Amino acid sequence: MFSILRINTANGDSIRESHSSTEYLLGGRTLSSRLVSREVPADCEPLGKKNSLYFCNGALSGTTVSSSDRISIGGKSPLTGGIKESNAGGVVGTRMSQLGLRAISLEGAPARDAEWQIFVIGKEGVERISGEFLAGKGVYEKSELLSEKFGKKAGCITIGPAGESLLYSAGIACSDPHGVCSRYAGRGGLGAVMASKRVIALVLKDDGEVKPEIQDQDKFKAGSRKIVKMLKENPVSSKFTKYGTAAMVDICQALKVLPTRNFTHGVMEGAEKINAQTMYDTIKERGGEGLTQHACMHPCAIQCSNVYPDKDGKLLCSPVEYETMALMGSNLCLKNLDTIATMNRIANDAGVDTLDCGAAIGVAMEAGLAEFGDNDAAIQMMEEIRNLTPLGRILASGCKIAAQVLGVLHAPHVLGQGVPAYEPRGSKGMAVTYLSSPMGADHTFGFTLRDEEVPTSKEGKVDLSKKFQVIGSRMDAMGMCNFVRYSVRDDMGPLLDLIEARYGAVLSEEEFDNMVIETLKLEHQFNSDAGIPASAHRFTETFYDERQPETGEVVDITDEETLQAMKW
Amino acid sequence: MVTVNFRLTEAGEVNVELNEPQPLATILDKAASRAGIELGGVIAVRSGQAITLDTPINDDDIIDVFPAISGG
Repeated sequence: MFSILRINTANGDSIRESHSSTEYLLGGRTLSSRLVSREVPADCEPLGKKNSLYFCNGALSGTTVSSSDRISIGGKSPLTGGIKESNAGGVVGTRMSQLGLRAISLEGAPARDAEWQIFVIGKEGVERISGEFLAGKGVYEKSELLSEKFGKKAGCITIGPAGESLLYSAGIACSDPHGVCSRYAGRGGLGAVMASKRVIALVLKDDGEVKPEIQDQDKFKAGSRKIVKMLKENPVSSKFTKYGTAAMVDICQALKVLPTRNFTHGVMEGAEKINAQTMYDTIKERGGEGLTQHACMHPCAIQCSNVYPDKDGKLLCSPVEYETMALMGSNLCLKNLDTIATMNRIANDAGVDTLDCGAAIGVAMEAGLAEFGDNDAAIQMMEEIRNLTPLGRILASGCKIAAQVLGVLHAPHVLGQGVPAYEPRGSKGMAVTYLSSPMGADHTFGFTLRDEEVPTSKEGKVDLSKKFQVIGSRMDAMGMCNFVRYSVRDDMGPLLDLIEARYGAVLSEEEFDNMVIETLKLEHQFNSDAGIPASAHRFTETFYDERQPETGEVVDITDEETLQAMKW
Repeated sequence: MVTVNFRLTEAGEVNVELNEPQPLATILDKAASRAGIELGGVIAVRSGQAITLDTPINDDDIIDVFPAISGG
């Protein structure tokens, strides 16, 4: 049996329910998207009391299996107006397991002027306390205050000032293994949804005593060791260990899909100044607290995270990921890793998504508010966000709103969500994925770039995107890190064997994939019921009309092709 | 002589002798064997264009080979 803890945020009441269905067994996005689909009225206001917020760990959470502790957070997105699943690493999933929880829901909402509240969940139950002492503070200070009060090992979930102000790019920050809320479920504005319930933090105390019940210990241990071996020996996932996701800078530059100058170019002169090798060398040279590899959760054999130090060797930001390096770097023509790391740190402190804010700053630079390549101006814009100035609030509302306010036509988004770090005109597979995702422009599922023989051609890309929509969604579907997929993309057997060893439940690959596809169908249906028309699944016209200089390409994906990629 | 540059790996640059055009797959096998590395999925780029495993490789070509990974 699996438990969901339902918290009524209006009156503080909570109840536990038990379930035994396959969706609860798998957890992750399988569960969060089903709960949203079933329980949230699709046409409700995202920041109203009818929306709910769900936190789900995965099938292998709390065990010895590497990279199995992602937490999936679901709700209706204020950014896209549709369903949203955003997931994060860290220790929250583990703490939930230790407290015997598969899911937590935040339901209802108190009066708008109610005081901020924290729900503290421990083995003795749920306690509601005042969260006023956290109000208005940055996420780093909130992390320290939460650690002081509940210990560094507690699993904490919090929001930044941008979330408190109900801004649409506000994310949800989750504790890393060091007690810092630095692991973000950044996309879709779910931080604003949490704030709409006047919940400023959730705390999972480190007093849980529930140990995973394993049906077949020997098989489970062998399976767990097998996953580690596969991850370490896989030539692709092992590359993450040295360079992390930053390796994509060189790859995207070579393929001419590195977002540059507000997505008007796919190549940045001087990109080597912000590439993986430069980052690696900088971290090594500076030493101190810097780490070129770092685990965001335990256990993890991949360790793609990093700790980027300042010139004195003190932690500046952890992690600095490729998507941020592109959206806050090349997209703004910035060639300084210290600037990018500083912007990333401010974003983490303000509690905003680095992709959506990077895209919005690109729009602001195109509007003439600052010159592309101006490091100081870019940092200042992030300070505007942290300080919640009028301009900062516009930027933290995402690039669609920023473009509307600032009079910019070339706004890189789909469904209001900023386009991730792969220029869609140079990669037609990624363009199909962005257009057809139920989440708005999203790269974590349907990642085609590595498998596109001719990235600039749209031939076969609908089928390719759909293939990887399933492959990419498999990991989300059970709370695994997305980078495990390289080791199991052709054979999910090792992970399904672990599920069998843990629960005694036999799930064939076909049955599992059917669950994955059913999730996608439910997500699209929710969006349809929410009133999102098919015509919203488009880029701005400029992407169809203006050729990317380096490839000579425009987006040529038709509405019919987008619909095909959404149809299951 | 074809130059294969294994980017983001310790292998670095490897040269492969070529008498006549051969598919990229053949060149990569030879280069990887010479460098003593195992290749997973790769993205290969020649003169700024992505190329496929069956693309004919000519003498004096320079190929950049990246591990086919993804962002986070």
